[in-house]
Amino acid sequence: MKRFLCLLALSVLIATVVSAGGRGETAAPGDGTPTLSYYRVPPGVVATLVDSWGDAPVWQEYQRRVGINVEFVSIPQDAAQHLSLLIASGDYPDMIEHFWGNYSGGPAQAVEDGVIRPLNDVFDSYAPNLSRRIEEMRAVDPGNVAAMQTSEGDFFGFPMLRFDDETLVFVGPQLRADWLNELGLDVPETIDDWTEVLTAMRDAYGVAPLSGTGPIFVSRNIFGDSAFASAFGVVADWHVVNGVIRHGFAQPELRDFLELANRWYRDGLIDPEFVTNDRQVFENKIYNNNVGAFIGFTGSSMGAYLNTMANRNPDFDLVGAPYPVLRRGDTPMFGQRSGMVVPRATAITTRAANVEAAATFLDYAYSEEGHMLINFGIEGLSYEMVDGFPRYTDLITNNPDGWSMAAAMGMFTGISAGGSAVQDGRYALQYLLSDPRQANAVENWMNTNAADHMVVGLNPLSRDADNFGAIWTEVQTHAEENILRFITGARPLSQFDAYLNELDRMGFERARGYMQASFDARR
Amino acid sequence: MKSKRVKRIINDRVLYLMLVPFFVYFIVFHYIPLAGNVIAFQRFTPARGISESPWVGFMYFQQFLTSTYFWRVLRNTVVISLSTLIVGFPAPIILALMLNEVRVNWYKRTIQSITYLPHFVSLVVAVGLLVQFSSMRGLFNDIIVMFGGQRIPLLQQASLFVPMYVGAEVWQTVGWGSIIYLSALSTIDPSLYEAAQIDGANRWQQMWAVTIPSILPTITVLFILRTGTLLTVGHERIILMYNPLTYETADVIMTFVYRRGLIDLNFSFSAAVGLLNSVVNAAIIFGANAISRRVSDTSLW
Repeated sequence: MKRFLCLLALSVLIATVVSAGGRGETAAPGDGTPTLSYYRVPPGVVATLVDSWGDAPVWQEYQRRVGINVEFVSIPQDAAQHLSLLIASGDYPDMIEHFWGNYSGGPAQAVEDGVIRPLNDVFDSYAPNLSRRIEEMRAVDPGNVAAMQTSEGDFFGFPMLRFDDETLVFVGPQLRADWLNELGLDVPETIDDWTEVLTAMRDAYGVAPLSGTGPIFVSRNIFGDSAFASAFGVVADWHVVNGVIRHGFAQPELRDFLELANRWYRDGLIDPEFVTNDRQVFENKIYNNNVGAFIGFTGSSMGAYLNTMANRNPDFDLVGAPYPVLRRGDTPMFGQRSGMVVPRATAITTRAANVEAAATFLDYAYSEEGHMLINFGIEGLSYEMVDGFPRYTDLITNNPDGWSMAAAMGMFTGISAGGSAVQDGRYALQYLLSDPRQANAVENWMNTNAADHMVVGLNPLSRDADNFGAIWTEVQTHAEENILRFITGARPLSQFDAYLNELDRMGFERARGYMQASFDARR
Repeated sequence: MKSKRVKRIINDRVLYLMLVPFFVYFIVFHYIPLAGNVIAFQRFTPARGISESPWVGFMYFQQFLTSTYFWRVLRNTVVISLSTLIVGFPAPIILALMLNEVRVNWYKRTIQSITYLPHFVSLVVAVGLLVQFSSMRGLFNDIIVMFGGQRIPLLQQASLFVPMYVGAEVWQTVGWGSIIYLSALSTIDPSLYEAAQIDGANRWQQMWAVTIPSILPTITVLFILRTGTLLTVGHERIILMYNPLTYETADVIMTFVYRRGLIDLNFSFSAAVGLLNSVVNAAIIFGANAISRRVSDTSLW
């Protein structure tokens, strides 16, 4: 294993050094401007157009304005794994953008491990624009500021912020509207409606209509964002109910959801391959009319599929359904809703020699001019001001080189993949919600009580991080594995209580206690 | 005496020079990394390095041995390893023996090329093929339907994981593995066969009385080497093939280590398990070697 690790680390190291070396030469030599290295995942389509995101017009302009040169680390498809290896190598770029909450033990641990540096003094000295934004966030809700900090109260990165409602909700249940029409069915609201719709689709089109990708029921697959589970009061993530921190893995009500999912699976309403589908396989199923319903994004699912299918099958149509509930008229307990602070931030690593330059570079995005550049690109080129509204030009919406809008956005703006900046609602209105079907879907998805229950960026206190980590890796594996086994019937539901006991023995309650303590400390 | 040895080294200096790269290779890639095992006893983080990370003693060993998953990954490792050994070890021997009996040269060469070929296919591509064949609309399900069965997601069945893994492994390694036996077969003195024929042995009897005893030392040595990797199964293939629904039979020590070490970034835990694994492997190989030395004349050292 040791040798395996070493080889992996070495190869990453070499790759980094080689790519860094290659790029270093492009910076004008001897002009005195510092050159920093930046790990930031570009929108997927960009990789097919430029070697490195730094070559895209938006970042060329950004670097010119700030007067600081930046080498973007080029990133392979599997970004999460790549970042793990990069951290394993111990040789980091100056800045890393990442969902730091996913770092084992949370951002506090990343600081403790000496990977990234706390930024409180840096914000005070070198980030006046961001500091102003932070005060605006504090005015809306002090919890927003806690979400930008480690459990120890250190700012750990330059966050992604959202002030406008249109930018907060972007994932939800989607169905084939043309199929619903043909079958004479309404958009489903309750779980019973869903059973009826899925059954009708199965019978009419001979497919297992509900599909998705990925093995984990918390991520973007058919149970993504607890879409169906929350109808039963189960949320597959840490959340708060009346001041008590809970997690759906160990709730007795989980059984009700699993019974439903297992029945759907048995009855052929769920794609039996949902565990092994990857994105490509899944999208092929969409394009081949094998999928009737799924959980997906407004832009990269609904928008992309509608676009692709416009030529292939003019009947293809999608509709966004509200998050399902048990009784008609209820408001769903949960659904996707991003916090105003996205737990995705650019941290400055301990390897950064010039912290001031890094902070100055990142802070520009939060200034008025930087904000416009990141969200809309260059005035007169990628957008025009029309009655005070920044409207994207044809370069973006109808690109002369034949680029898709997603590609053009990725080249001329820095916002479509998210990242350290303030995401502007006017961007969302023109890009994510340009189609009335998308706007309608978001309206349906917004109607949940998610805002009352979510806790953004909650991580254990650093004194508990080790203990929490040791318990949680086991609990998580066990829960995810068994939830899938219950759904597919590989484990009978009569053993549900045994499953709860197993989680208990693994220390679930202790892990929950650590989260509760961190939550209480926040208030 | 001494000057004689020095003289011999000088005489054969080119040969000794050719040895140097391998010597350096082993030092750099196999001995220096051994020292890295100390991180098993630390709470290691790359940013602090070995010198600054705090010492934690046997904490991570204890964590692994008391983990809920310890028995499962151990059991799966042994089961997968033994199955691969039982099916995969004799397969190239049998293939080599069969090829040895083929007298038509072009036919023999064709079969050899076809069986080698999978060895040159990258693991990722090989598993990719397997995934395609195993999908709901794939080849394997078509065959199942042809025989009147139902389509099932094959890669999601815990009970099918081991056969599929072993099958894929044998498919990819059998031809290449037979080369060493074929070369051993070619060294057998033809006069032995003549003598057997004069004694009236048929082809079958010749194989048992001449061929197999002649390649037995090769088989024994390869077998002992193989036992040394009993707890090390081809985890790259498993990582590409498994999913949470098949963890029950597919999760082995090395994949567990991979998830904890590189996905959860717990390097020390992984190092501890890896070290433990290597110690057990070493013990097994020493044991197998000792047994072999006692019951036969063949041994590694």
